[in-house]
Amino acid sequence: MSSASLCADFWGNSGVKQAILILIAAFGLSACAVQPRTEPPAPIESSRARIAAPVPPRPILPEPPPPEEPEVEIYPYRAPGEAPEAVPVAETPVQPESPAPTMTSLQSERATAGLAEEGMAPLPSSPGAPASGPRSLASAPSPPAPTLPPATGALAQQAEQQRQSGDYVGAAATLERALRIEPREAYLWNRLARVRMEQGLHSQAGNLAERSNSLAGDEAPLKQDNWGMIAVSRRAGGDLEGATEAERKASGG
Amino acid sequence: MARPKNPSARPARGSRPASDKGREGRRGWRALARWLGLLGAAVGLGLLLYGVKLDGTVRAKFEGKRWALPARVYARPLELYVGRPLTPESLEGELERLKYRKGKEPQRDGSFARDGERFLVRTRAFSFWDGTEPERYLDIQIAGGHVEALKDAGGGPDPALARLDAALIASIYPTHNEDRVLVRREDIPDRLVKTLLAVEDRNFFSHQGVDPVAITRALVRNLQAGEVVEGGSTLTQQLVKNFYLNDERTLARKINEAFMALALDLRYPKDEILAAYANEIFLGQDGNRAIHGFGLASHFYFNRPLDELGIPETALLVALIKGPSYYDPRRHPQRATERRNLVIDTLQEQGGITPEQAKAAKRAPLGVSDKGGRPVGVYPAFLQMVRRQLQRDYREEDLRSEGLRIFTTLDPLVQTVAEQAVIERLPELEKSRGFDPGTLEGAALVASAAQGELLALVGGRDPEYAGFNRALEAVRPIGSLIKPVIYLTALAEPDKYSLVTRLRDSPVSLPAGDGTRWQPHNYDRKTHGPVPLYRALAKSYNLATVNLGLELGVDRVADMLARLGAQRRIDAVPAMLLGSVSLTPVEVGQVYQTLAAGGFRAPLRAIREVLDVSGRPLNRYPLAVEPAVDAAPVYLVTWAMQQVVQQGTATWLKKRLPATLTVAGKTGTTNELRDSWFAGFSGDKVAVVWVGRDDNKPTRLTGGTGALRIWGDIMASVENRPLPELAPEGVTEVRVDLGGGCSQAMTIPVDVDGLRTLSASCGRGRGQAVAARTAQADKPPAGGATARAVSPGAREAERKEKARSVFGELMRGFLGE
Repeated sequence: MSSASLCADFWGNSGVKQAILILIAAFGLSACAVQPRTEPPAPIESSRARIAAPVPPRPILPEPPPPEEPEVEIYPYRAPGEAPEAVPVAETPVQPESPAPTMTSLQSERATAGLAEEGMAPLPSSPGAPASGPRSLASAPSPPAPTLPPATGALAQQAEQQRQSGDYVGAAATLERALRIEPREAYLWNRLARVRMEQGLHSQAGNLAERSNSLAGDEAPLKQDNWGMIAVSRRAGGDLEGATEAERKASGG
Repeated sequence: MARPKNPSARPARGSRPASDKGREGRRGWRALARWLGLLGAAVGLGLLLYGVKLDGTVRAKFEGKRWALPARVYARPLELYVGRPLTPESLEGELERLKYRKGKEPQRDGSFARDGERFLVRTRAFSFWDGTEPERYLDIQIAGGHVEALKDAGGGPDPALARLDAALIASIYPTHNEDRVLVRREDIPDRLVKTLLAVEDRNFFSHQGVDPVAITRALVRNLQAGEVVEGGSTLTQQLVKNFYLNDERTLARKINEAFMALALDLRYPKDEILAAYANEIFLGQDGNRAIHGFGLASHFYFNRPLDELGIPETALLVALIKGPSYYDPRRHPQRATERRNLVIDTLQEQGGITPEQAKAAKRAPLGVSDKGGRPVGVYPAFLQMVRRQLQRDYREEDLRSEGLRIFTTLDPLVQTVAEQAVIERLPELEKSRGFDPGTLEGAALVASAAQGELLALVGGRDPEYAGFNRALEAVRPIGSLIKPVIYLTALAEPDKYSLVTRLRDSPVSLPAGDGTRWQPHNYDRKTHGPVPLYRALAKSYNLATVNLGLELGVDRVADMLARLGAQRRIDAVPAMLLGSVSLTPVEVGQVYQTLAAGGFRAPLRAIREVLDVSGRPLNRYPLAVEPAVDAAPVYLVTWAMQQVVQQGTATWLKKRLPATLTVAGKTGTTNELRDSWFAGFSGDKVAVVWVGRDDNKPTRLTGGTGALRIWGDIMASVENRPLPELAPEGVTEVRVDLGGGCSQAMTIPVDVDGLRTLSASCGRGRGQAVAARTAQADKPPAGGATARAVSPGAREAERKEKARSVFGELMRGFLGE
């Protein structure tokens, strides 16, 4: 028999044909199956994600954690558990006319988020005074800036601009940077208190204003401005008597 | 599927007619052809499906995963401004830490020139959380230990403030120990792309993943040369090769890689593949750390970022691709140079550079630095603090793989000073007490007073050793360090205690609960009778302190300690008044920070902010203060702690520190001299030092003879502001008679609420003659209360009136005797 006919015989055998077809089908199917990994995963970058990653713009985001509790447990000191502050939406004194419209939405987002967290209505008790307090505070003129050395002066100016445009987080960072250079400059502490106040963080604003007062010496306008913020802070914390006392001092009494 | 059996087509074996045989043969061939066709189709289908499988693998590896990037930890950036205290050595040290190249005239970013006290610096741009600091060309003039002038050397407007880039102090590596600095496509310099393509893959942008032309050319070249001089793999194929971790070079592997390269090329644009290649390629090994990607290789070999490399350096990096160990420029400089020059030639052949450039590049030395790309300096103690702080907010895997950028408060200048002080003093102390070298251990920390930023942390006498961090973990009795807390508790009641209130330094004997009695004694084993309060603190009299503490109540002292920031649970027993309380140096630091900041507690923190890999802020740790104690009593106890230095147990500091630097502090010594402490602060910094033995045996050192020396060394060498002289509201100055008559009166600060308690007043501090007046029975407001003064004018008047009325009473009383 020729090899050709052998082959023909071989191929002619239907059982073999079947087997081969099945083999091919099986092979084809296995190609579609998921391969089990044989090596440890190689670190690969997501090319999509990389292309999508934008050049970081100037970040104008609200700080994720509220400054009230920034500390880690390992710190020897931890801020005593303060009651989380109600971020008073009704109280937001400054409607930031910011060039970045996203800021406003983020702010109100955060305000509502803060409300949702606390689950309580904005400011308790006396509706009359709080409404007038912060609003009058908002329209209260800033105390005059003292002559600062050029470095801190430039930073203070920048912080003022940031605050007025609604970039509170940026303003706070700039002021902290200035405070590293001049830690005893009462005006800078006052400005930081003001930023916190406008963020609705009244307790911290009050603390910073007190710190400013402890360094202010005889500067009356600065101290009065501080007392104003302390008054708001006390009222927000429920210390009405203290708030009245502070208001008296804020108006020079 | 079997064909129906046709009996007529199946003749019996061996008895087939010839014509049937022929027909069979033809049918056989046709059947064969059919089957071959089918088989071909099946194989084709199989291959297609296999290709699909490989494509699936390619997709799975290329998408949806990210490189595990190490976290980068940075120190604080140095800020330059006119008036900043800075020595030329410090500035040069900082520039070295930042890997700036020193030269005659700075040409490129990241270089500087120095002429005595004048620096010309080309800074690098750096993205901080709050904005990008642009690259600048600065002219810095230093004089008298501070920055005298800061100008723009390019003629532009002088910056009021310039921030240098932050120095990398550590990386937290992924578990597989691969290190890379991610580069985006646009960050890859053109020069590098040209060189890479010229050598490795000429037709990268035009082939489909596999380049048959290149393969043929490589074959020819290699045959001609008699050895392998060229590879025919495309970059795509090399990238695919890197997906597999073992290095089989079988035909099957090659075929697989070819398929996958085709798939990769089909799916992804060339730029992405190029960028992936540039970040994946293995370029060196540094101990445990595998160097992947051009970004990191540039730092590792040249200590410079990728965009600062010239032709010869770029050529060397490309040359390494073939074999990073074989061509290691540090171990085999000859081979490396040859290969690099070959690369330069290839580049020139293909028109990437001119012949002149090629010649110049080949003449250039290799230019590799000592192992670079590593963090400068080793700060394991500080990093432990950073890690602890991070662990609250981030999981370990995130830390290791997300490429986080962590900006810390570490000040390398202060850290170096602190480390040196510990390293140099401990052997001296050992010798002075007759110990074997290595017996004593120490810990130190320095923080900014107002903000609580941790500037330096030393965990032991071997600062580079990452072991037991004594500053963070050594819980030791604090001894007399507790005393300012007791005196503060007293001074917070101004109507009962003032700085000159007489305390009884007389024997104490209390039942100890187990039948014995607790009978402490003074260090000098004497009793001193009635002593003014400030002196009892300055001289650290135990008996007076215990008597005072018992009068106040141990619970109140414990409460005050907690208010100042000590979180640890304390046993409120009388022995606590002499410091049986155990704290770590960092916890002590927190307590003294509150004192240093006028009663405003700011938690000690090591991190300023955390950004993600693209520079977006994730977490910021902002400044937050809490008024823990009223400012007036803190001012008074600070004054008393100044007397510790002026006339008490720390007078050695008067010699060690400059005369203009006023500091306040307290020595601490424990039973049998097991622990030696000093904690104190200047106008802007607070520092704590502990010296002791790990086996807790006596050190033969008191606080004043041990830890104080290290403290003094540190504070004398860092920038410091003196303590402020401005007293807070509610404090005034009075001259008091301490037994030598009013002609030898001492001026002390006094809380106005407590002027009545002063029995030895000789008048106002400024020596104003004050007319006696009929005293108004002014009831002073409740001491230590919340609301203090009103407007300054009224306050001042109120104070004057009070002082006058009290003075009047006293005068009358005095004269009337």
